[in-house]
Amino acid sequence: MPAIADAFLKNRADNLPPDVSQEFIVPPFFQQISIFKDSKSVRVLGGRGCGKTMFLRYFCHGSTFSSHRPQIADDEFSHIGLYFRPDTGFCSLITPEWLGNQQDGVAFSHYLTLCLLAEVSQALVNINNADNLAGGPLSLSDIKLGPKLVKLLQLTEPTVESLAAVVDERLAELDLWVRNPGRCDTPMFVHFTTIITALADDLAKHAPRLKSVAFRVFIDEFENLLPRHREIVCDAIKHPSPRLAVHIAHKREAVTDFKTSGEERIVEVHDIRTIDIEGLLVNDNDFEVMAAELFLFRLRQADVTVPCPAFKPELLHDVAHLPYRSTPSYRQDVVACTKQIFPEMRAPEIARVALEDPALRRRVVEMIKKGLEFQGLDGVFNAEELISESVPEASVVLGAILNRKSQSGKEAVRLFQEVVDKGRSKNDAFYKTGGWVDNNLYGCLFHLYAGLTRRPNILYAGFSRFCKIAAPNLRFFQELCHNALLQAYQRRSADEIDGALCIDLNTQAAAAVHVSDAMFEDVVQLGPHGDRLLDFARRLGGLFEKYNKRRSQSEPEINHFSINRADTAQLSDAAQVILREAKIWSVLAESKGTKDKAEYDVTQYELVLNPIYAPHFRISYRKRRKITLTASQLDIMLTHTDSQFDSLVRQLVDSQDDEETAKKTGSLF
Amino acid sequence: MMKKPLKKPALCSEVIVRFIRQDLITEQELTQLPLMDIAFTGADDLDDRSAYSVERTTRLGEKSFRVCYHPESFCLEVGDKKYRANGGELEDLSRDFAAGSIVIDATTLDFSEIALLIYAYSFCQKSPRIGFLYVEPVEYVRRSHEDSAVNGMAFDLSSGFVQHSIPPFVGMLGNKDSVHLVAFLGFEGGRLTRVLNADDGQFIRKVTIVFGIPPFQASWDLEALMANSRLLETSEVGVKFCGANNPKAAYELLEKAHAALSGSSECNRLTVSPFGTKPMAIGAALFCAMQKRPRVVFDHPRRKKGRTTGVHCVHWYEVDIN
Amino acid sequence: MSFHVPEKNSSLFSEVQQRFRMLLKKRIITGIDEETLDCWLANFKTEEERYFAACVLGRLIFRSKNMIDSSIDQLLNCMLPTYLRQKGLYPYDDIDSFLSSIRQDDPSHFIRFVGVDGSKQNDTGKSGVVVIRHYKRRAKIPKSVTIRPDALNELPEHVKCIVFLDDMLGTGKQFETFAKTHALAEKSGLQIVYCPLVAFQDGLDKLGKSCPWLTVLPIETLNERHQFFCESAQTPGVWAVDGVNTVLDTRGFYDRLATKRGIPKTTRHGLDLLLGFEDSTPNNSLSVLWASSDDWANLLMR
Repeated sequence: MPAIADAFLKNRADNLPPDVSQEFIVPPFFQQISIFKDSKSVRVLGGRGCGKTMFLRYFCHGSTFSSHRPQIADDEFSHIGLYFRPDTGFCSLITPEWLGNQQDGVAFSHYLTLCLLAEVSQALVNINNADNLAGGPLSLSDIKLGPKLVKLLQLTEPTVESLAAVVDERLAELDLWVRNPGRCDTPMFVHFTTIITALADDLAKHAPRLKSVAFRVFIDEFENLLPRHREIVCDAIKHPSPRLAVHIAHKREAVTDFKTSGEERIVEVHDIRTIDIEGLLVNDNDFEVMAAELFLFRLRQADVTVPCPAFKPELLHDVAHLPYRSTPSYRQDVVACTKQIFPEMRAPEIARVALEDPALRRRVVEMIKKGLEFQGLDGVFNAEELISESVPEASVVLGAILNRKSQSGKEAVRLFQEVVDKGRSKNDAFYKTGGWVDNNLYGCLFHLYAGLTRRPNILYAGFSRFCKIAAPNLRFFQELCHNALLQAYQRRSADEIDGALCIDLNTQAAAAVHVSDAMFEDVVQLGPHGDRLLDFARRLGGLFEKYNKRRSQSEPEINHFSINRADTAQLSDAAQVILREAKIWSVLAESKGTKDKAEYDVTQYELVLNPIYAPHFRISYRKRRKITLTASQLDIMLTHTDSQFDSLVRQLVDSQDDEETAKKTGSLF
Repeated sequence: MMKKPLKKPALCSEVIVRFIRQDLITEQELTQLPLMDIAFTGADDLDDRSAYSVERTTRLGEKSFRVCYHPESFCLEVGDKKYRANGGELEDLSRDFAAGSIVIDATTLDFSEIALLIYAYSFCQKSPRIGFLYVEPVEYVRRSHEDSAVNGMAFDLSSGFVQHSIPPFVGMLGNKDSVHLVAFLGFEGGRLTRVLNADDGQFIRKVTIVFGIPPFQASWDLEALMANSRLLETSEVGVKFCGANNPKAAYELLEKAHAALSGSSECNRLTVSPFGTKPMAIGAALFCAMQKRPRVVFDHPRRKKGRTTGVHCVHWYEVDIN
Repeated sequence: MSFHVPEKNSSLFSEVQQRFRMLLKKRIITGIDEETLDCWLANFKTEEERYFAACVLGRLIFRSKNMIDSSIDQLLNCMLPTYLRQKGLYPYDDIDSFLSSIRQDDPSHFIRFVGVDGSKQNDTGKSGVVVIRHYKRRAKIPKSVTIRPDALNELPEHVKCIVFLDDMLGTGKQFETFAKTHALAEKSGLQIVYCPLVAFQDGLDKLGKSCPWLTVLPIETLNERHQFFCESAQTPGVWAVDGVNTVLDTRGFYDRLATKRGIPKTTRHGLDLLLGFEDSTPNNSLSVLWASSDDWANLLMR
């Protein structure tokens, strides 16, 4: 029996088989958008870990004609999916510099054609052998291919077997030609739009059921194609052929120019539509539901009995069952079940726990004490007495309040003692809506925990918090699960665990930090500028960490920044490159603006540090406060030396922390 | 250009590389080595040992030439001549620089240069005897940044990695191919994971990583393990060992992996990543250049100046590739 | 201040033991099972003890069977041919010819391989025997070219070279005694080479002086930096491992722990190395690794 933790290990698109029909969980957004319903080209956007490749594979012939499917309708023939991912090592040789001529465009097209033909051959075999077609078995072995195809490909026989054999030969020929330019006969180049269309026409003639046969090509990792090769693909998008639709997939920001071979460009909406997987995944709590379903699915794969009757893994893979999975009761059930396995403690509870834990309580007392000193009241009040178990939240935030220049210490203490005596109300400064507790509790808790490196910070524990930290990256979520399960249950399998599956808060918190540390370490491998990216992430995270350490918490939970659009144009080239890389690899995400802002300023845009790194820097993952950076400040952060960055940090963090300046002038009130 | 027929790649059983010597060699013994016809060296100004190595290697050859490979233009410069990295032009190289024996400065030349030179000479009717000089440093430079808490970043050896294919070693892979990746590992964590990330499950089905044990200096193997702990943690990898100083062991390891392909149901192609020590890279270069089928993933690190200090000892390897 | 856990290393224990556990799981380290590891870790109860354990585990040099195989390859493919060539005993064109000649199972070969044992007859299971068995398996060295130490007086004429195999050369005392017992110094006309898998530098120097007729070719060499209680190069007296505690405090801490739990303390001439092989542990390794008592579970076997 497999260890439970291991069910979450197969995290990469490692060894994704052509048939993902038993693995792919149909996301809720399939209902909202029309996916590939017509033949207009689609651009699928998504970063690593959001499931982009599996999504594409789901639409390809391996999954469509899977033997696991109960019934395959004939209309699937009108959009047979072909998957293409370039062999970048080989394609990097298809350039004028290497070939010594301008044949790179046609050579790439030839390569693409052969790869797609190989896919088609496989698809035809699948269809030929399928015994679960709704219209009954369909024999394709005696197809007679037309003269056009025979001539272009120089087929010995007009059969599909001959086609498959010829494809292998031509690929070998192309391999030799590319690697020994000028020394081999030039192959007879073919173009994929011509060939695939001709093939489709021949198929249509073969059987009435194939009358509307058409193919759709999915080009994955579009950003990894050389610019000239991308033009070839864009040509096909700009000028669609009958029976052939071309779709592409790439990471956000990774491709900005969709130029064709000519002067034209691909235009959004007119030529191509965009599906932003990450954006769609986080709509409306959908990510939590998907994460819960994925978690329960994996548990089932590890032979664990899942205590959720509503959950039926066999319904996950077909869009037909989406209505059931969209019902509020189902969604609540799966999320609730997962929450039981990953319980959470709310912030007010954590405040109570903080007062009971000696080390945390000491931190609270220290904070209040420093605040009293700051206000010149350390002779008047005793910090220890300003803590009350009856109002733990108020006790926790009191320290921050007292450390603010703008706040009268005497007044704060008076209000606090009032709350202690009279109990909390809807109107007191602490507990009213938008009051001190609402605005500062989380910030103060993060501040308290940040000072205790050994204590696991249970603000990171809980299923919905795991989701907030990981979204929209399912890979991250699975890493969190894997690590938490590993720490809780080591290598035990389902039958070796007694009692209900449940992971305690401290273990979850430790897992969050461990995974966050690991993901942060991984930044160095992201793209060709990984090391600069890591430096930048470290600096940005470090800046937010410093803010979190401010006693005043005057702007609590700062974890993102905004910048003027106009300003970004002023950044140095090197800075722009790193900023772009940060977005491509999801180290930063561009955000649509905090909802509670009165005005939405289009000239500004906000960049959030991926919340997966929050535990590493011991900062908040909730999107609350931001700072505004100028171009020159951002430039320093992106490209300048450590010492220059350090002075920038001092300037940013200390200038707003009133303690230092105020101390010098003594008590203010 | 006249089209010459291509030489068919030799079958595995026809290829024999004989390892003649693998010695730790003293200054005196170096001077007693017979002169080779041609010496090939790299840049001599990177650090202490490059200056030393280039000087000694040059003295070992009747003639000596500077070699440099440019990954982005696929061009191998030898002396003042340029050759593109394809079979035909490299064969020309072996004619232009015909020799009965050559010595390669493995300290200052990197994997791509070594492999291409061997590949060039493999076309000869009678290939020259090949000697390799390799100088071990006293120390590798530690990263001075205070924050080397990230494992693998502790050694700051290279400034920028680039993934350019080396044409003879990038035969096409199709969707029926599945690859067994054998990666020799060293200090620089992340090099292999970058390769795995880039492939992302497309072709690579099996990964074997090779650690250099016995290491150059005892306890440096702990550094390599730590630099790669994240990789070991997350992936299903097999682990093998090969002397850090033993090209023959590296060669034989690859031979075995290659032989296993025909029996394996999982993988049919071999890809090699020579990220470990230079002697391992020599073994790998010999294997790939003579076999011609294996693919190579190499990231052409741009070596920083002063990345090592001192000259610890010198190795001399001699092979016969006929 | 006495032995304490430096702030910067507060999470060292959890990191190191996780990493070590992973090496066990991935079978990079074979010969120790997870349960043994857990029992050993359970020996350490306080924060300081756990920190100490982490320092030990993090600097352990362990050689599993596969790694030893690789070391054997190193000797037979690199070091021994070089040595024989220097001594004019190398009539071979290449390394594989040399290896085939040994594998011939021909007693007329001029080499003999011998395992170094502690004393004469009843030394089954001693490290020398184990090592030579390993060589035989890995390198396919046949019986005809291996002999037992007692056969050293009855060597045929044509034997020109004896290769002594061992796992560890520590202080050198053991080999000195062995050499005296078998009167090796008197065997003129023979090239004698001693090849331990690992050697300690001091032992090498000692043998160099007391046995000038001997060549020692260790496959790996350790020096004082590998001794657990070594001093920092920059600050004398400070423990090199963490740069914070003093050597005296650390040693004192360990001795107190050892006494309390009934295992050997450190000794004045002990080497305090952190070395283990899959089938054996040299006695100059720190006792914390191999000792066992009612109150102490061992990690490695002696």
